[in-house]
Amino acid sequence: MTAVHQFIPVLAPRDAVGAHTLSLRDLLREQGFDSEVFADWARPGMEGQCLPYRRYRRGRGETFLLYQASIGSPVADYLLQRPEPKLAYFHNITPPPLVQAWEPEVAAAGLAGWAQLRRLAPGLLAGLAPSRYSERDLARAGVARTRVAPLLVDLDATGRELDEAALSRLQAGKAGADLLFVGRLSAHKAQHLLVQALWAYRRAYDPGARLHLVGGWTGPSYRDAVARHAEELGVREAVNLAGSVTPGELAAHYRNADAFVCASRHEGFCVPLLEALHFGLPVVACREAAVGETLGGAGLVLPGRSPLALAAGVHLVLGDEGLRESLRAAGRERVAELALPRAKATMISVLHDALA
Amino acid sequence: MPDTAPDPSRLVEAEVGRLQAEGAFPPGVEAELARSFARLTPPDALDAAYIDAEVPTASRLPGGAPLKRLLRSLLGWYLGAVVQQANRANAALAGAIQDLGARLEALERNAALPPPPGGDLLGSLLGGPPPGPVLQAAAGQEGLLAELPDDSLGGLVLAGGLDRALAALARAKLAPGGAVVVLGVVPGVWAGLLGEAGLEGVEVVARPPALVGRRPAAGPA
Repeated sequence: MTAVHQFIPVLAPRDAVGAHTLSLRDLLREQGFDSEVFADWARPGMEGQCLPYRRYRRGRGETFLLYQASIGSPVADYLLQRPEPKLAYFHNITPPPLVQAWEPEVAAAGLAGWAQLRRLAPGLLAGLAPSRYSERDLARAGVARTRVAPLLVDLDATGRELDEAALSRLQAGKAGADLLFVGRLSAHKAQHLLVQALWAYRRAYDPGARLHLVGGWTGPSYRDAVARHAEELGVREAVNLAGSVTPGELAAHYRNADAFVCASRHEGFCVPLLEALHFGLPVVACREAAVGETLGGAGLVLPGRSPLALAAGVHLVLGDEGLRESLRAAGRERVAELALPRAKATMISVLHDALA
Repeated sequence: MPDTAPDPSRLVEAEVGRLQAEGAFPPGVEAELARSFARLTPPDALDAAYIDAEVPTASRLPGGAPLKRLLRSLLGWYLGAVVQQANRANAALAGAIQDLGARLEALERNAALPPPPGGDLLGSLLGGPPPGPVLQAAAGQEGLLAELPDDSLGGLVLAGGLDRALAALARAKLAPGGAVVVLGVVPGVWAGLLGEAGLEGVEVVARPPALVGRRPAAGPA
């Protein structure tokens, strides 16, 4: 039996990379491949889903190794020494200069990730990426054969659990529009710009508006700076730093929000954009990295990085029913294009092509 | 969206223009917002820890740019590997410095220092109000202190350290009966310097950790 085993630095629950990896493993098994996931670190709750990468042993049949690349990891160094033919799925790596000042350790891991990718590149059968943006980065790193292959995201799962109590709490405090962003609190996601946009939006249109920032943080410094910035602008009580939430709470945030806002400077794909579309939310975002590509015309994508423009954009989509409905319809189409069954079919075709 | 619909990003641009024309926001507000957040950003030194191996290849000489690109591609594998190692080391160092900074900040917070120790602290040490204005200065502000007339200060609070020159300067600027307070983690190590400068009643205070010296009520500066 032909085997395609995956290697991943960290397998974590409630994480797009982890969910994609497990979906791909199941898909490969459905297709008749032998497939296991090997990780450097399994976060609590994921121990049964993977094996330590050092315990990998080659079987008798033809074997391919697929690396889920997202950050520097000893897993990549290990793969460099393996003789089996290899592929990589590139989730992209945060450019170190964007986080250097705030999270030097993340920047260092990113640098290591880029270096490892460049070393792996010449030996790869093919490099896959969820967006053309990330595919270009793969090519720049020296991968000769690249393909866009969809991220396997089960959007329906996001709405399956709903924490009704959390939704009630969110709705009880509502005094105006609720803006939402979902993503790790990190400088490259520029949540401070969203705080500025909230300040402008409250001042110009809706004094009761709030901003909910859902997502954990690795280092406290950027999170503290965002909180302090909100305080200095007089909007601290309107900014909810929700932190890491359960799937049910996440669904409650999407259900409660009036608009999804995104000012990220770097996204290799950005699953929360799709989740927002799935929940029918209008999206207002800055045109950076893969953001415009992921939205595929289903959001209001603005040039530049202006908090006033973000505020005006939110005002426009919330005030113009026709625009909102057309965005919603475009969102439904985009979600259907990237829905799991279709994504699986494309992935299988791309993989067969890559392994041929 | 129907093809005839106006481009929403144009509508946004027009709306921002309207808000600004109506004075909803002061001119230059976005630059001010950016500056306001930049003040919260960690020091530039950490940004500078990152070295970019992608050197520009533009040239004013004919054929210069392709030549530079060729050289860059020939040397790229070597420089790239070296720069990556340097960047990893820099990032680790920058992280260690940032970590130290955070720990120091936490220590300072935990030490529960009173509000800026000016006249109140001096007053309590002197048993009465200081005999003139009180200046608080941090290390590096010796230039400012030197500009002041001699015998002009009732009190001087120095934060960050002391050396022989600064002790002499303090002695010169203090009015008779005035006092100097030196704040620091280990103030005892500077005690001798105040004595050498001609200040009297030198004492080390435990909380906040400080060193105190007084200029004699009478006597030449």
